Amino acid sequence: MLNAWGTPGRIPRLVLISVLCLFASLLLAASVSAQEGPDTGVTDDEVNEVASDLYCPICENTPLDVCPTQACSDWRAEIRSLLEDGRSEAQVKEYFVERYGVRVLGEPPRTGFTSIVWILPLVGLAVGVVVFGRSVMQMRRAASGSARPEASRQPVRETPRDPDAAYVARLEQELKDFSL
Amino acid sequence: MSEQARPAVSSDTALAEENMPAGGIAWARIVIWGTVFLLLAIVGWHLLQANRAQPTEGRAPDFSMTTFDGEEVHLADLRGQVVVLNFWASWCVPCIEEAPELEATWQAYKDQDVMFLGIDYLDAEAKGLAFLAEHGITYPNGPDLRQKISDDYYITGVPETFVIDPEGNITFHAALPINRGTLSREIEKARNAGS
Amino acid sequence: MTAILGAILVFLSFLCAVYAALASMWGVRNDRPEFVESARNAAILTLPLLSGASLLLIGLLVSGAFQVEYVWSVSSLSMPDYLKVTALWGGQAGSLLFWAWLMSVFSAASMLRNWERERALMPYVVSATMGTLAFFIALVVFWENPFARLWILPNGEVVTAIFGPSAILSSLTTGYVNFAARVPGVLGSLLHDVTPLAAPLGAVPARLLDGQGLNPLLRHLGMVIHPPMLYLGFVGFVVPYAFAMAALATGQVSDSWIRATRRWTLVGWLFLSLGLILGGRWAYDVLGWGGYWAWDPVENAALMPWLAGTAFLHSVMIQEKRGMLRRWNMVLIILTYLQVIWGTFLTRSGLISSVHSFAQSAIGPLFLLFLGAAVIISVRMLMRRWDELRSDNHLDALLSREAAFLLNNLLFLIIDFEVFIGTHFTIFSELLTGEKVTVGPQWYNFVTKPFFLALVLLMGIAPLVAWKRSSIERLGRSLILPAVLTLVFVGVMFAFGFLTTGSALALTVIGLTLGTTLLEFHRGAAARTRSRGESYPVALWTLFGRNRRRYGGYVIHLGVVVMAIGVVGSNAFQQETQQTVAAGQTITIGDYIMRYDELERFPAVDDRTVTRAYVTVFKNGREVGQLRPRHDFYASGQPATIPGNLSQFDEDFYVLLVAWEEISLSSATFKIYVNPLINWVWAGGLIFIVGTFIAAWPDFSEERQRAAQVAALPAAQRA
Repeated sequence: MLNAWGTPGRIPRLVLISVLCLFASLLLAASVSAQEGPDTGVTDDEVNEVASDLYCPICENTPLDVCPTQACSDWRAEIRSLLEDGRSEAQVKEYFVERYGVRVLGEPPRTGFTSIVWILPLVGLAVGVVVFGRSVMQMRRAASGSARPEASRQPVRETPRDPDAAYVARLEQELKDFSL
Repeated sequence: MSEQARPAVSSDTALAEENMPAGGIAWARIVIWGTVFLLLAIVGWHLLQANRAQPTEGRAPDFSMTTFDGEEVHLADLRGQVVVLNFWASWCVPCIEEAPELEATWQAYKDQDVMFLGIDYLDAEAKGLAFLAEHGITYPNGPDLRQKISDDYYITGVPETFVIDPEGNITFHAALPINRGTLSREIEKARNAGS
Repeated sequence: MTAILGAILVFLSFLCAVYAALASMWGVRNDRPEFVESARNAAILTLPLLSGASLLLIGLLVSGAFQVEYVWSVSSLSMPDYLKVTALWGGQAGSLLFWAWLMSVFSAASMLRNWERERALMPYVVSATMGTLAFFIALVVFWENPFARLWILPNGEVVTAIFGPSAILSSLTTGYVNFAARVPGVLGSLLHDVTPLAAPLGAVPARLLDGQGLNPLLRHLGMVIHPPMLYLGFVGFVVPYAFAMAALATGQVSDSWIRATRRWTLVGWLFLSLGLILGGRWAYDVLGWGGYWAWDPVENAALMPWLAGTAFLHSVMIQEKRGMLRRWNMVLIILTYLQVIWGTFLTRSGLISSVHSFAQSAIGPLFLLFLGAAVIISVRMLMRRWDELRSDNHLDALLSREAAFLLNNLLFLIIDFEVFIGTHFTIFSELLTGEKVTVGPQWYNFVTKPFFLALVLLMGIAPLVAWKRSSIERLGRSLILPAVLTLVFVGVMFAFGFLTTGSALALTVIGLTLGTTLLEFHRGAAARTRSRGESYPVALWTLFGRNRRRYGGYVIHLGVVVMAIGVVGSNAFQQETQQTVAAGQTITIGDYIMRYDELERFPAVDDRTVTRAYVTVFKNGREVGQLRPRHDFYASGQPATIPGNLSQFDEDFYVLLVAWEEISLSSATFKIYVNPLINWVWAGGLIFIVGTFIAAWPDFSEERQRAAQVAALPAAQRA
């Protein structure tokens, strides 16, 4: 069958070509039927992907992918048709914001009035740092007039003879302190 | 029996101010009282706001709307006509009931200086259009973008109907499905109120 | 008859609470101990009165007395008996009565338990607890009375009133209504909303044959336990607050009030934690959205007092040990109390959900009034003693356990603040711009994650930091082993691509804390073994026995760590898919294949139609389970989606029957979640609870010692 160069002769070539054609046509048929199949276009998962980030304008704090009402069902259908039109997730969100306001978004926009809600945690952090600093400074100052003898409360030894005994002794001391 | 000795507030705070970092107590006071009053003021105001209901008299809040057909409608431009304003949604079951009533009344009055406007409230556009087609509504309808109009009229649900006289004042409000009898009566009342 | 008796009992308890609050204050200020004693008795009396009223209401619910408006609104003939009992807290009026009942239990317990030991403080404790109780009972008696009944007027109108028509009472009622109508504004509407005393003449009892029944979402075991746990938690924190106020009032601001409330705080905290965990479990099991915490305003309302309360719980240790952070502790317990009241207000007034529902009941303005008074009184009292709340000792070093606890307080408060902003921003924005915004889980997760992680890290490091002063070398030495192990483990996982950067970072922190916490157990036991010669298990047992607070606390930390691992796993690695299939077809997700087998549709008890799907789950080719997710449709029109859940050690296979379209054999939509490590959240919760029990377990020898000490006190000090 093989000629001098190792390439197949005529009949095997015909066979090969027909096999390839059959294969190609099968492929084509498969892709065509995939397009005609029931799950053409947008899958439920893709709708959910967008719907989980959008909130129902009527119900409270309910994302569109879990909301059970008829209205939400309509909105999910709207998402689906928008996605089928080829719009991106961001465009779908924009469309919803245009019609129903920013409340459909899962988090407030970072610009404009709602930037407050993003800045406030930072303010809280800053205030926290300041308060920490001031408290530490204040606590460093001897707060009461007379210095109370601390020795009886905490036998803390940095280099104990027997570290375990000291540790146990400390636990016992703390136990005593916690009781009457 | 003597009263339990209680140091007067002023000496207490004086003592505290000696020992605290300068301005510590003053700051604390300002912040605390400020927050208290702010909170109470906000929620108090909220309370007053909350008691506002749909307007049943007085100037009808002006608005602009783009209908599903793309036309711009301004309420102010409709002075001189009686305006019937109806809020509806495709998912609203009672709206199905009143749709034919509204359409019939519209047909009866449409050449008599009466305008019907439908506001589609919180609705998917496709569904809204389908609703209009299904019930053969011919008067202008449009989506309420960002619920601006619904907020101005303090809608609590759908359907709600307002009747506005030619001077621009509200003469009637209903938060129930309306029928042609009531509606035509109110339209007549509004017309005569103007003249 | 029963309803009238119930109404009378509640009214009497109101009188007792008011009397107790006032008499106690007056008695202690004017040195008339007999009034203080009588106030205490009145306070204790509220317990049997409210117990009676609550039991009567339960009786009405179970027997289906639908003339009583509350019974009509939350109960129905078709409900099973256990749900009828839990309907006690199914609606506003009943749950307020329930709240008051629990409050009376706790305050009576504190009267009985602490009276002798904290004699000087108790009168003020009575005032504070009874003041709070009186407010709640007032709400019940005057505005949300569960014993009000429905009456029909001659013209067909239906009205509610406590008593039936009678010459005197009806004319009194009419007179009051006319008066209230003339008062303007908010005050007028408050007065107008008071439950009418008697029905007008000519009214007849409304003989209703059935009630509305409980909201379908509430008809679940979780509903039985979750609200009582939360209420117990809230009420539990009122007692430490009362003691704090007493300490401020008497000037005994050092340690006695903390010691007295140590267990109360732990009890309140236990129940609040349980309530939160159970709430999450209930949401996961029943509400059908695949998760357990949605940062919902109502959930947040319970979380906020928990955050401040946890900070308080820790911070008091510093006060006990070194007399420091006294001001912090006052601030923290006041904050906790205020947030308890605010949280109760938020969830009942409808402030969060809608502008309109807020104003519809009188509850909103009344809570605001009470809250305002509570803020003003607490802050004033705190300011008066501010100076005396100075620390006994000073801070020696930044790297010390005292500083660590200070940092702990701050971290908790920052998170508390963030949750507060998020929860209230919707209202704030609506007020100022007219536009509503949604602050969803994305925002909360983003802003709180770093601080929660910092807390977990602190949880691991703080036990290693010594009191007063610690050296970095010492700390480093203690951290080496856990750090190395964790980094190796996480590093390997990351290298294999199992982890994202974020989850790797989180797991590093969590692993470090896990290591150091376990090491704490080991160190203590090993030290005992070596120095006392005890065997390791015995040493461990004795550790727990003798140092319950500390080692119980470490167990709680262990629980937190396990929960944290579960949270990271279920959030970062969750998979989901949704597909519509016909019977016989399969859905593939990850290693799983799920086959839709069968569908059943049938009516069930409770007026609902159940649509139930049968599915078989295969993992890696092997059948691992059969699930029955269902969709319930109640007669009232409300749906409920109950998932089918296959719980395994490492993950959950969680499937929902989704009703986007009509469900049938030829087409059913399923939503599947694969939740890795989610059961670690529940397991961690269990460890958490066990730890709290260990920490709170009474030490009977300690009790005997204290009783002996009290007995030894000179009589004058005691009386």
